[in-house]
Amino acid sequence: MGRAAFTLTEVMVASALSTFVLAGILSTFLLIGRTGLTAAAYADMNTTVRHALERFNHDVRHASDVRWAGSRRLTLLPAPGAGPAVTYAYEPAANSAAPGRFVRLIDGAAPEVLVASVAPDFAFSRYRLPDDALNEPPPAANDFETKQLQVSMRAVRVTGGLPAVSQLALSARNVMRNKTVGQ
Amino acid sequence: MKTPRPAPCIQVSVTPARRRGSVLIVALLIAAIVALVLGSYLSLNLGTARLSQRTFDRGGAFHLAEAGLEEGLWTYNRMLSGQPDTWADWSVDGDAAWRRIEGFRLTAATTGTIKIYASPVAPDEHASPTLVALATVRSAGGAPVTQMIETTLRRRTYFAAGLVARQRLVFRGRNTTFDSWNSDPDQNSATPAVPYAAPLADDTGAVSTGAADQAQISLNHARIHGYLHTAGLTPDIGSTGYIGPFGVAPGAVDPARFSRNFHADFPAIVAPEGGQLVTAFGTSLGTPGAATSWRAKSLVLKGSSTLTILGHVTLVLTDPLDAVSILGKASLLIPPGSTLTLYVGGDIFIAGGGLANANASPAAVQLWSTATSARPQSIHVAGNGSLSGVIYAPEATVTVNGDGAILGSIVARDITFTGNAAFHYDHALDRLGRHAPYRSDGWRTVDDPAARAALLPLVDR
Repeated sequence: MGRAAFTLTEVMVASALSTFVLAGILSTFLLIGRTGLTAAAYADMNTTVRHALERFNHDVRHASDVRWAGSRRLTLLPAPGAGPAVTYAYEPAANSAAPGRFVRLIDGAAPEVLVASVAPDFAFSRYRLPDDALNEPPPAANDFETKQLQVSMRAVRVTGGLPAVSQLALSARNVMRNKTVGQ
Repeated sequence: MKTPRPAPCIQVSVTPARRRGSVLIVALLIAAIVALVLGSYLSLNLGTARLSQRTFDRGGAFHLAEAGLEEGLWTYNRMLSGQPDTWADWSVDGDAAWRRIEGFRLTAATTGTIKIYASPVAPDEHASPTLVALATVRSAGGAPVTQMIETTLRRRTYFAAGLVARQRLVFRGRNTTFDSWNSDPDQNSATPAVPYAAPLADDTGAVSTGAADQAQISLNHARIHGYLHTAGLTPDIGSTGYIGPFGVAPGAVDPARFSRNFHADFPAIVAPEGGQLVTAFGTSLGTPGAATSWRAKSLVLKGSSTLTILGHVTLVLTDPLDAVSILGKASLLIPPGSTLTLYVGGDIFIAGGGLANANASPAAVQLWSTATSARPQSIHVAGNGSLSGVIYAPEATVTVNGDGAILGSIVARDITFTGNAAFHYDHALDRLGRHAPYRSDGWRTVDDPAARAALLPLVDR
């Protein structure tokens, strides 16, 4: 006489339960993995964008003048003897709807890519001195009256089949401390 | 008959025991994977939190360092205003001073410290003091973050623009012109000043107005080779007038040369005390090569009389009504090498070539108004002669109705040109800092390790 065994019904019920449990575990793992990847993408974008904004802020603060070439490109002129002029620009992708890149350019040097994937709604803003300390500074109309500069960008990250994630970054309105205006 | 022997219990119990072991291993594997994932996630978040904290600390250090520079700048300006205890909170050694300010609490667990270095502590009028600020921010459990900023100071000037009208700026002539030159291109007052000449003229001077009402700006046909600052208004220009570089088309304001940023303070000037009293002026005043101070009620020159200034003369005129009248062919002559500094609260009328500055530099003749808003002052320059000098009269109405050349700079409440004068601004006046406070002239964060190492011994005391 053979040993006692599971009946077919028992095996099927057990298989079904195991499938549900394993599916739940797998789903949880996938969710954790995706969340982790997304979090890593956000953290990486955060670090990259923060670094880019710090470079931009630093150069603006030291600039003695600016040459505005539209809301996607400007050149900062340093004080005499304080180094070369620095250009910041948004370089669009061949497909204008696709993310471009935010670069820092110095004549004679290779472009430094600060943020590799930036949405096309990138924009520089320029402002003149505020009318008083309590008011927002009004927009500037030309280089001559420009005293403050700002950049806004949306970094985009696509990670292996996951939906794209993006992070909007807005710099401070950086004052060009070495630029004299309105005297 | 033998009854069948029941199966040994041990055979029944073996299989469940193996199953329990498998479940345990699977559970441990799952727990390990979950722990790994959560550990990575935790590590990621800790890294992000540390980055945020460092960024916060860096921002805090930056603002503290700038606050240190502000403290130093404020100290220098207190010194200029004659405060006797300017450096009382500082440690002074020779020509340098240090200060340490502690106790800044940025958060419950983040504190900040500022160290400031200033030198020289007693600068002359043309010196450029240096300020260095080193800020340190400490957070619990993290390395301290430091920020060093260096700035050089220079005296502000009230003559950074050729014409500065607090309110009304009017050009009525059909051929009034404005340009500029630099009488001190090497920035060395020991070398001879360069007189104005048409080939030296440039188009980078500025005209400024703080007018709040469009009716107060009337440029008409003025031809301004330079820039225009307003306090927010956009001016109109006549068909033959313009604002822009040499060669700009008439009838337009070059949009690249127009700003709406004009803001300025116009502090009242107090005349110096003392001075030898003059009851009647002779043919000369002062001593060649020497600085002298004089005080009189008024200065009136008529007919063909001439008063020659000798040496460096400071003259205070106390009449609150009619302080200066130079009429007819009379003249006040300032020969080469001599200078005249006038403090006047009353009205001024100068006719013809009545004020003859023979120096190439307009700064040789300085008129400082002591008038207040209680009685607005009138300054009238008439005739076709040349006038070279600087006028600081923020409560005065200045009217120029001649066709001659005006060299220097004018700061007034209202400025009106009724003739066709040619105004030439002197860029060297941008460094005339008398009566003006300090401002930052060069600002940089000290990030380069070598530069930082050179400055650290100065400030880190």
